[in-house]
Formats: sequence, structure tokens, C-alpha cells
Amino acid sequence: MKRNISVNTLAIGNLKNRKKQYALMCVGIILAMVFSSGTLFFLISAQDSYEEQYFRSYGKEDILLFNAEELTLDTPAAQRYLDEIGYAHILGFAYAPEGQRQDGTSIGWLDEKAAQLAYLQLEEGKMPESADEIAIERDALSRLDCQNKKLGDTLTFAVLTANGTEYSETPQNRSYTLVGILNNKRSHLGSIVPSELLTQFLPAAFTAANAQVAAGGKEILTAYAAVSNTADHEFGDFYEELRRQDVTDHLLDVRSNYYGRIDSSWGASEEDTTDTLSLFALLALVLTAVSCLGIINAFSTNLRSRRQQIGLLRAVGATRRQIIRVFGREAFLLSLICAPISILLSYFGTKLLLGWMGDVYILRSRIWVLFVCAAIGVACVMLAALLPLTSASRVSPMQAIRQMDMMRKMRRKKIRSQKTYALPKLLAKRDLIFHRGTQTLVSLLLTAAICLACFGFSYVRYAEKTAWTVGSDYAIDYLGTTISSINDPSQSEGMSETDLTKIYDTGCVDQIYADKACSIDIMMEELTPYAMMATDYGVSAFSYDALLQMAKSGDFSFDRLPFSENYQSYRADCGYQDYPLSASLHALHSDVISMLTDGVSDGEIRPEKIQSGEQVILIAPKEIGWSVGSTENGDYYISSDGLPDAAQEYFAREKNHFHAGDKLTLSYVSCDENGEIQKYEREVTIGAVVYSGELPSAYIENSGNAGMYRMELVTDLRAFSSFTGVDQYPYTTVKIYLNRPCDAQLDEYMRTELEQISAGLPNLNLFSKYLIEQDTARSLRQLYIGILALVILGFAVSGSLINNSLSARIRESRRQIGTLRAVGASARELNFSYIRQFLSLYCWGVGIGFALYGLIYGVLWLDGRYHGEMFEMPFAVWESLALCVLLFAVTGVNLRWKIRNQTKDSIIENIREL
Amino acid sequence: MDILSCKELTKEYYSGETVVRAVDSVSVSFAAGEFCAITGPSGSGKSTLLHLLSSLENPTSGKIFYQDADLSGYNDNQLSILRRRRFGFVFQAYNLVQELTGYENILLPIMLDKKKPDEAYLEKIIRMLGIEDRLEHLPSALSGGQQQRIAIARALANKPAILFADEPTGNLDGKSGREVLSLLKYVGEQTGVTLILVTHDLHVAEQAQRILRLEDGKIVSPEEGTQ
Repeated sequence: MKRNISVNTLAIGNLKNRKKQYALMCVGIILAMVFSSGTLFFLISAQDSYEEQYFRSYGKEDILLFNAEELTLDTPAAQRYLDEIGYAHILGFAYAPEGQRQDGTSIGWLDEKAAQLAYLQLEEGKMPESADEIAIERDALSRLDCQNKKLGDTLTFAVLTANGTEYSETPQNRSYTLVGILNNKRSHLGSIVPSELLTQFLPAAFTAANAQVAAGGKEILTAYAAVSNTADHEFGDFYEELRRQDVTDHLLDVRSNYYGRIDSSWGASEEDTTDTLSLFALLALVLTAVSCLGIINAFSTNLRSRRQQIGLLRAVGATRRQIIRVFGREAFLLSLICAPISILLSYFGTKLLLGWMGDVYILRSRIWVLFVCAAIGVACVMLAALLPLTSASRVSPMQAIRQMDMMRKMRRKKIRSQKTYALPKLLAKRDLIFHRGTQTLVSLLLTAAICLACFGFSYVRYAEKTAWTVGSDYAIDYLGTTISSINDPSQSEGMSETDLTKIYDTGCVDQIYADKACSIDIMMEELTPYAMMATDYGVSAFSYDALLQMAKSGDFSFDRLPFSENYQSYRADCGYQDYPLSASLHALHSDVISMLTDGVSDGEIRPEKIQSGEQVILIAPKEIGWSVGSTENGDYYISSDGLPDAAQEYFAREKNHFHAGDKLTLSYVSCDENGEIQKYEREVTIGAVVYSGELPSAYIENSGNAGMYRMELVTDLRAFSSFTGVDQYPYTTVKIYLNRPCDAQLDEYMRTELEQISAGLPNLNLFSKYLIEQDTARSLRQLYIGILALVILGFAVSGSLINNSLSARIRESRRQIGTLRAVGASARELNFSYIRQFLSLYCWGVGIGFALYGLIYGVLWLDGRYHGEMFEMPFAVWESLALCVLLFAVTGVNLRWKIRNQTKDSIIENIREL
Repeated sequence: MDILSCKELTKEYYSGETVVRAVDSVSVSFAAGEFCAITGPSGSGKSTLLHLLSSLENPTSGKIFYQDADLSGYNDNQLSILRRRRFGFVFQAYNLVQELTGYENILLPIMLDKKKPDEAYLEKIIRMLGIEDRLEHLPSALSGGQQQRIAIARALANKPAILFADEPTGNLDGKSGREVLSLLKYVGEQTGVTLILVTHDLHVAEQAQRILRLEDGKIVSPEEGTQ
């Protein structure tokens, strides 16, 4: 019989003969491939979901061109700057008959291309099919006073008919049947591109295609366009082209504006999606690495049990390369068999998981991705298999057949007979010597898992403890407020009384704490050292260069410290005879002022005196210290510290000398429309003194003041104008408390309202406590799940390594077990012997892990203490200890079961096995 | 006085649906200090009989008595203690624990019994077997004959009452086999141990005081040996 024996024949023969072992290896390989494919799928899904969320919020269009009939995009389209162009046909402008016109929306229909680009998403119902049917974006529905309307209801609007470029002035009532509610687009676009054009000419209400404009009117066209990805030209060139056509005034560059605002709070949900999926991708990557370790372990075990076969092949002339090829081919065949199963499992598993996570998480099907997954999976398996294969191929025939490596190890370690009578201990000890590699790997993994677990749980607790939130339900901070020494109320931006009324009008607000702020000078006959130092936070009274020179020379004296030029010119400009100490004046709600009571160090807060403007509260550093330091470049600098640190050396430190009862002359400086400086002076008494470092947290949360070191005077809102002489002054921060518990719907409503009310204020920051808490809870949950998953993974891998290693040893030692039983070892003693081996494998890693955690924690704690910054991460070992116990119990039970399996056969069967 | 005996001892194996009776209603007894050889052709059940007598395997039916104690009532723990204290085993394939040195292998039953070894006795055995210079080696560094000597020393370490040997010379060349057999006999005479030896080699069997011949699991001809 003629038969060719090839590498494949040998490999397939091996596969057939060791089905059970290979089935286990296949499980490992499938896991590795599932996770490696999962990494790719999650990464792609992160991109897809991010894009999908963007499209759902803003549409697929890159640019919007208003009045597109007059100013067409034909030229850039002809020049291949644009891929697709579609048009919205606007028939009119609709608003609630009893409502404000600015709350209305244009109404029209989209052609096929525009509908694709606008990416309208129906939340309920269907798109209109006749001219008297309408579908409206949810936000527009509430603006049109129709928030309570349901599908099928008739809506009546005042409609201004379109006349080509504008709308008619006379509204006509028109009724539509509501057939669909769409997700918000216009309000989202409005948040990134605030524009009158958007409100006027971007439809948020849609009727059936080809509906006609009312008699006498003419459609207004708004173009949706997608910029070509394959354009030969840069976007800038394209923009220049539009500029030449005088189109840019009518154009909104949606995509660029969006990316320009990507770090603002409005884009947070998309960021979260990406973060979550990136975390999952990272986890999948770690799991891939872990699965590869599993493959290495499985192949190592497999090859160890086949050392004799390898030795035999080597003895009959197989080269190292051939050995690698035979066993490598096995790995390749296995990975080919496993690839389709793994990729399908991974793909549908990822889809299922994404489905559970919500409809914003998507994964688009792409055939090439499946091939890439297969290639990556096979590469992972081959790389993982290469290590044990290379090691196995180094075995010489004699090594394999006579266990030469054991003899070598014995010589190297100078092993001598032990006169011990504890067999389990002796076997465990000897095992450590002969399986040092496994021991080291297990110890390393356990150490890493324990350290990871301890620091992970420490971090989770730390994150819980330090989770940021705001005191009020909503906070609007106008970050554009820079308090300059010369006030200009006409240029100051913030919220007006009308805005506050609008906030109250939402009907959900219980209390608003708003505050006003301006700069004010405290006039002094001469500047005390403390006052001199305090000017450092306003208009510095002293020459910084002179101060630095004196500090460096170690010969500092306030008497010789010259005034700065800025200070002198400011003093001259204001026509001051005395010396101004620049401070800020905050006008607060009386409730907020009363929150300062617990922080008062001198005097008392008398509300009636504060409200009348007779008294103010002074907030100032208890002590100010100046120290000198140097940078790495050798440059010196002065550090001004409002809360002097006991460990720091100061060349000057001065205590606050202002007391309750002190009379102050305050000067409010402003400039009129001609640029002339105006002063408004008055006297006031300090009613109470509060030190900056001792501000009650309730006050900080509600005042918009974070305890700056600048000298601060606090007055009541009612008394503010008596210090400035100005009646209309904008509110710079607003804290809002709701009159009912907040939920997702209310939060959405309030944020939309507040965005509208505060629209037009640049650099505005709106904080929603509900959103922050939801985000924080979600982040903490994700963090906890992520860390727990990683920790469990680490422990599972360690457990699996211990288990595999001991299981392989038990399998290999079947005959040894038989021998031991034959010479009188009972099943209990055998159990104990292997448990002892397990303990010796386990305890090193556990011991080193906790010791290392303690050591690193101690070093970080001491380092923090040395540098005066407390290391605030709590010490967390209990969770890790519990996981260690769990791992020990699970592995121990499994081990016991495996030994029982071996000892349930007769001794002779044990011995005969090999 | 009989140290070991069995009555109607039967062992059946199942090979698919076929029942193979390896030992068929064997009743035999062994006197203290006796050297008995069990012979027979391959597959006659001689090794199985030895395994049953030494409690390495459980019989399908029948009883085994050690000094009149019925072993069928013993649990795993009691049998383990019996094996480590009263029985010694020498296998054809030596069966040494590969991770332990020669000396540690010899000490195995003593370690299991958690007793201090009789150093003088051990030294005597080791000298008799001529393995003084092989004690610190791992089994893989020893020749077949040397490994078998270690196995004999291990079997004798706890001063057993009965030494079971299953084809102890089967894996050895003629010279080594003869040496091992002489040693077994010599040690048996010196220590007064009962030696029950399984062999298919008639020259080996002839060294015994009594020869039991087995065929198809039954004793067919109890014979006196040449000694």
C-alpha cells in the first residue's frame, strides 16, 4: 500500500488521537478569537455609534445654505466640492396663535436627498402623506404649545406664508393633523450654531412632499449638502469659492462648528458612548491577551505530555523546523476550524450586547471586517502557539525520553535527599523546583491581579468620595465675567431680571439664588503690609521685580518695597489721594448670606444692616505668606499663599488686621460712554469677617464663589446699587432649585428652557445636577464594572493557570498516584499532597501581591505626606481578600474533584494507564 | 501458620458485553516466611491474583484474609495503612516517583506512616542491595537494575510481613534479572518476609519453595519448587 506521509498527515493524526485535549484547546482558541474579534467590533462600533449619534442629533449634512434659490450651490457641486445636495421646500412659518413668533418654526417638506441628509428619525407615528398632515420635532412641538397633543390630534397654527426669500407679515390660521413626532434636530443644531437663520429657515415641522405653498406665495429653499470626501481640494479652498460667490453669510458650516464645540457639555452623550465602547474594546483586548496566555498554557501542557513523541520524532531525524511545522500546522488547522465559529459568535455576541446597551449603540456590517477578524484571530493563535512550540522544538531526543531536564535541574539546584517525613510537603517543595516557570508565572499573575484589585477598589472608593456635583439643581455660570478694576456695566453680560422671571415662569422652580459682582476699591490712608500683599490678587501695588530682587537677596522689607507703575498710574487715573486696595463686591440673596453664619470669625451677620447697605461682610485670607522658589531653569518666582502652609518657609507673612466694626471707604470706579472715569464713593462698616479658607460649603455651592484669596465684600442684592450707583446690573451666576424631584423628562425640559433663556451669552456654562449625577453614577458604574471585570479576569486567569497547571500535573502523575497508593497513601493523603502543592503555588502570589500593594500604598502615602498633599485613596483590601478566598475555594474544590476522579479507579488502573 | 489466604476469589472484567473472568474461584493460602511463585502463560490471571491478594484491586467476589482478618471489611484508609505497614510491592516497571531521589523513594512508606525510620535497618538493606552510591540520584538517572533495587529497598523499608513482586525481572537483562532475584531471595531469608512472586519465567519460579501455576484464572498445579 502506497501512502504519502506529510506534515498534514501527522498533524491530523495528532488531532484525531487526542480529541479531548484538542477540544479543550479549541475552547481556548475560540475564546481568544472571540475576544480579538470583539476588540475590533467594539472599536468599529465606537466609531459607528459616535457617527450615528451625531447623525441623529445633527443630520448627515455638512453645510446648510439658506435662500438657496438666489445663491445656488451649482458651481461648487460642478467643481466636485460637494457629493450630495438636497433641498427643503419651505412653505411658511408657523407659530402658536397665542404664542411668540420667535418660538415658531418654518414648515415645509424635504426632497429625497435632503431627507437622506437631514436623517430625520421618527420617534412616533409616520411621515405625512398629504398636505394637511404634519410631523414635528419634539422640541418644536413644545414651543408651539402642543406638548400635550397626541398623534391624530388637530393642530392649528398661525402661518406666515413664504414669499421666496422672506415671510408675509400677516398670519393665516391653518390646521394640520399630527401624524408623526420626530427627534430633535433644529434645537441641537441651534446649540452649536446659534443663528437667526436657523430659527427662520430650517424646518422643524414637515408636511407631505410636493405640498404647495399658499396662493400668492413662493417656496423658500434651504439646501442641505455633504462635502465631498474625495474632493481634490481642501475645504478652505471650497470656502473661498463660496466667499467669492458671496454665499458665506447664508451658509452654516455644521460639521466644523460641531467639532469646534466637541469638548463642551453639549456633546457629552456622544463622548460617553465612545468612552463606554472604548472601555469594552480595552477589556476585550485584555481578554485577548489573557486568552493568548491560555493558549500558551494549553499548548505547553499538550506538548509537555508529548515530550516522548517529540523525542521520538527528533530521534528518527526530524529537524527543529519540522517539529515546529508539525505542531504549528496543528495550531493553524485548529485556528482555521475555530475561526468561522469564533467570528460568528463574536459578531452576534457584540450585536446582542450592543442591543442591550441601547439603540444608540450600533455596529454596521462590513464583510472586510470579518476577514480582518479572521486574520487577526489566526495571527493571535499562531503567535501564542509559537512560544511553546519553539521551546518544545529545542528538546533533544534524550531529554525527551529520559527526562534529562529534571536531572539538569536537580544538578543545578543541588538537590539532596530530604530526611523529612512529611510527604505532601516534600512533594510540594520538589514540585516548586521542577515547575519553577509555572510558579513564577502564577505568582506574577496573582501579584498583578491583587495589586490591580486593591488599587482598583481603592480608586472606586476614591472616585465615589470625590464625585463632583453641584449644590443646586441647575447652575448657570457666566465664565466670561472678568472683574476688572474699572467697571463697565454697559458691557457686562449676564442674566437680566427678565431672564430670571422666565426661569420662574417654567413653573418648575422653587428658588433662584443669583448674584452680581463688580470690582471695588477699599481706600486706605496707607497700605499696611497685609493690604499690600492682598493687592497681589487685584492690581498689584508693588513692583514684582523689586520684590523678587529683595526676596532673592534675603533682605526683604515692606518699607523699601516700591509701588508698581501700574498701581501708580491707576491711582493717578482715578485721582486718588489715598491708596486703593482692589477688592470685589458680591451681591447675594439674603438666604445665601445667612449661609455664611457658620464661618464668621469676627462680628456677626445682622441681615437688616446688610440689606440696608450699612454693613458688609469681609471675606479675606486669615494670613498671607510670600515665599520664593526657583524653577528648573534657575528662574526665581514669588509664591503668594493665602493659606500659609506650616511646612513652607515664608520670607514675609502677615495676618489679617481687618475687624468687625472697622469703617471702610469704598470706591466704585467705572467709565462712561466717553471713556471718562467715574467714581462712586461711600462708607460702610464691616459687620462680620469670614476667612477665605473657612467658608461654609453651603455658601460656596450657592454663591458662585469658590473662596478666592482676593479681598471680597459681600452685600445683599437689594443694597448693591447703593455701592455702584447703577440700577441695572447683570447677574453673573444663577443657582436654581426645582420645586419637585427631577427626572429625565423634567431635566430635558429644563435644560432646553434654560438654553433658550441663556442663548446669546458667550462662554456660558450650564450645569444640571441631575445630568451630572446621572453621568457620575454611570461613570462610577462603568468604572466599577470595568475594574471588577478586570479584577475578576485577573483572578480567573490566575485560577485557570493554577488549575491547568495542577490538572496537567495530576493527569501526568496518574501513575505516580497509583504508586503512592500502592505503597500506602490514602486518598486523603493524596488530596492533602496536591492541596499543599496548590497552596505553595497560590500563597506566594497572594502574599507578594498584598505585600506589594501595602508597600506601594505606604510609599505613596509617605510621599503625599512629605509633599503636604494627603494621599486620599482609601486602603482597600477586603474585596481583594474575598476574591482570593473565592479563588482558593473554587480552585480547591475543582482540584479535589480532579484527584477524586483519579483515585476512584483501582490502583492497578492508575499504574497501567501509561 | 497462614499469614495470607483467600477463598473463592474471583475477578471479572467487562470487555464490551463480554465478561472476562481473570481469576476464577481461587482459594489459596500462604505461610509466614514462605517464598511462593505464581506462574502461568500470558493472560492466565497471575498478576491479577497478585493485585487482589495485595489489595491493589478489589475482587468481584470471594474473601481475602490477612492473619485471619477479612480484608473485605476494610475501608480505603485501613487498606492504605495495611499496605504501608505490612505489605511491600515490587513492580515490573519499578514505579518510582520521578521527582524524588532514590533515598526519598525508599523512605516513601515511612514518610506516609509518619514514623522515624530504623536507620540501621535501612542501611543494612541498602548495603545488601548495593545501592549506597545511587541514593542521591533521580530515577531517570538510574539504570533499570538500579531502579528495581531502589524499588525493592522501598518495598522492604517498613519491614513488611509480605513482599509482593510482579515480574520483578521482566524489564531487566539476564544478568541484572538474576542479581535482582538473588537479592530478593537473600533479603527474604534475612528478614523472614513472605515473598509472593509472579513470573512467567520457569527458571525464576524454580527458585521458589512453592509454585502455583495458573491457567485461565484457575490454579491448575500447585507444585513444590526446587528450593
